[in-house]
Amino acid sequence: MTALLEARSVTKVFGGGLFDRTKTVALEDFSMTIDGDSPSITAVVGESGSGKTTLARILLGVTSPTEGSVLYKGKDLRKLSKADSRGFLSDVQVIFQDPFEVYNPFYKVDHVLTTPIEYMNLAKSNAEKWQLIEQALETVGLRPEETLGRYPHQLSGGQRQRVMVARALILKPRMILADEPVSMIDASLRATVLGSLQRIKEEFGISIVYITHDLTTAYQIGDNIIVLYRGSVAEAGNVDLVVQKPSHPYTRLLVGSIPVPNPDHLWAAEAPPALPNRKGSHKSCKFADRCPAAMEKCLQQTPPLYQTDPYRAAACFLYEDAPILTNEKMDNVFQANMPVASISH
Amino acid sequence: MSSQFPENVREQKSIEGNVSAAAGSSVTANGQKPDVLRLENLSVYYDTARGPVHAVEDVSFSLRAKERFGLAGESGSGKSSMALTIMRLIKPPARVVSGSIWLENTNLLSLPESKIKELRLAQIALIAQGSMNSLNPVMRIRNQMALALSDHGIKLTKSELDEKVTSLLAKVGLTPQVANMFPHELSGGMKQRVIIAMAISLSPKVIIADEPTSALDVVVQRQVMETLKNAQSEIGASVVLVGHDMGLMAQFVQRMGIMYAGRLMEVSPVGEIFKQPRHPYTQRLISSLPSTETKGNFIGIPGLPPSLLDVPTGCVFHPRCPLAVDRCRVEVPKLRELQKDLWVACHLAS
Repeated sequence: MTALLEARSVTKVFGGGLFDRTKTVALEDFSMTIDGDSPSITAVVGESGSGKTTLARILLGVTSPTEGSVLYKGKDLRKLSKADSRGFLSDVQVIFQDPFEVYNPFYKVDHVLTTPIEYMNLAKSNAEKWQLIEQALETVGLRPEETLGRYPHQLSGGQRQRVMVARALILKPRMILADEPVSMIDASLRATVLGSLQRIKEEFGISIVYITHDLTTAYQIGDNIIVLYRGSVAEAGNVDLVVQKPSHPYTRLLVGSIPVPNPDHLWAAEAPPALPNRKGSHKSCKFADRCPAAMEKCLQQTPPLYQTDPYRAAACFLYEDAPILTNEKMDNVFQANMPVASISH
Repeated sequence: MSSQFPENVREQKSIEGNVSAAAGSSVTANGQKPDVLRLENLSVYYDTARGPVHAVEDVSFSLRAKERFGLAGESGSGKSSMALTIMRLIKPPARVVSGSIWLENTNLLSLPESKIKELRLAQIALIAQGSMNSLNPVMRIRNQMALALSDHGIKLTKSELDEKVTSLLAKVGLTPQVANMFPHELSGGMKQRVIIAMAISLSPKVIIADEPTSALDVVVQRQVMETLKNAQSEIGASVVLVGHDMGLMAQFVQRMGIMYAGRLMEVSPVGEIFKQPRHPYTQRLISSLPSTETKGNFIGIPGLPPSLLDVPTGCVFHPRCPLAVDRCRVEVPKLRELQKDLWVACHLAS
């Protein structure tokens, strides 16, 4: 079995060269496999600067990795034949953060839906084309008669984002990469967009990589989660385990900082001290300078991933008794086809 | 400039008489803390080519001394327009159509611009959305903080200024060295704390914080909110937190108002809003919130907020409200006190 999309020991460094000081490692030795056959939602969570958008761009082939490679059906993304490249474009779809910028304001929203059909020759006739479009819109909970023929500014952010999900669906992709799809949408409409994502995984068997800064929505729709910190995986595994019982001190800090919408469940009294983002030696654990549990060892060595549970791994020396999991094997802690609670629409 | 504010607001107030300043308008009569800030029937419209946009419509509420009050709503609900109007920073095409804003016994809307300038920062300070980006990039933090003080006629010697800046920075958890730095040397969270230090520098009675953490990561957000809370309690100010993040509201405020399409739907203590919301909109807003406590239990609100150019008759929420009856389509529900401290604008709430 060949994986649909595979990142192999990918590292991305920006800058560098003459002035070493400005070198930024955006993503370090990252491996991940998206298997097109068993659909799942993998949430990639991180704060700004964690490398999550770099990861998205690398998986899409928009940015080339400095080291390592991204493979589509076993072939390097940079060396795809014309036919493979077309296959990649229809198999791997993307939904961007800003549902305002992706539209050309001079065209009706129909334009973003008809273009891929025409480009990929998906419909034999005009009637078939509109049938495809209407089906896709209905799947994401939009009424075609209320959506088609309108200009982007006449739709709300949530509607526009759902048109984007519909556009991705038209191409019958095997995976969708969603980069912060709901961060610019109001709470009352957010649930409907997330619900459409979850439904297309279940109904169409499409795998989703959900990139976000928001642990709460990651927990709600994800099966598996990867927590990134400054370009490295801090913790990965089953989403319930990681969010409900975080192992890595960074994940604990993140989970503890979520403003829970419950006035009886307030933040713990004392927030950890805000330390300046000083850069430790390049070998130290990246989180050591902020970590309440940091030991001498943490400043000397980079912790590998330790498999703490069957379905979880954490890169922290607190768990050094657990077996080491090499970065390439991170996916071993992921479960495919997990039953997930569904969101009502 | 002054023409956009009605000159006759004082008269208006006496004519209307039955002003429903939400929750505790009668000063200390029932043992409550006195009100510091009181909005009465405030309406703000934006004039556009297609007619007036009703950004804020007939809003009344009051802020008690030392209280943390939340003003929550989705985009376009009028919450930021309200924050700017309180600061008298609202500019044309927006205009105040009616109402008054009382800071203790002064109506802010009838003051001349020169007086308002004195009141800003000294009595009522604003932490605006993205204000950390408003620091002057070529000026050291100390000098920027000194400017705020000298603008209000406070003349300090160099050593007095150093002492003042150090103590202000300490109040927001920053080291004295920060005073010598330029904004680009600080992280987003540190810049936002410098803004808080400036906001409290003259010990204002009211701090309006409009989405003070919107561009910050969760960990930093929590630190900034806690800094604001500590600074507020230290100087004894009241805070109005304006925002869309209900989680942040739950963590920070004591009482809150829910805005929808320019109107206040409900004003209640925060525990009531989250556990027993009375207004159908609040109920649906609360159940649309994802949480890490339970899974898969959040539901979107069907439909869309109305266009503020063409507001529905009756209750603004009725087109999306599953409980709406005929009365809701014709009669605008008034904000009324259901029980002590629970104010709801819904015909059906009881």
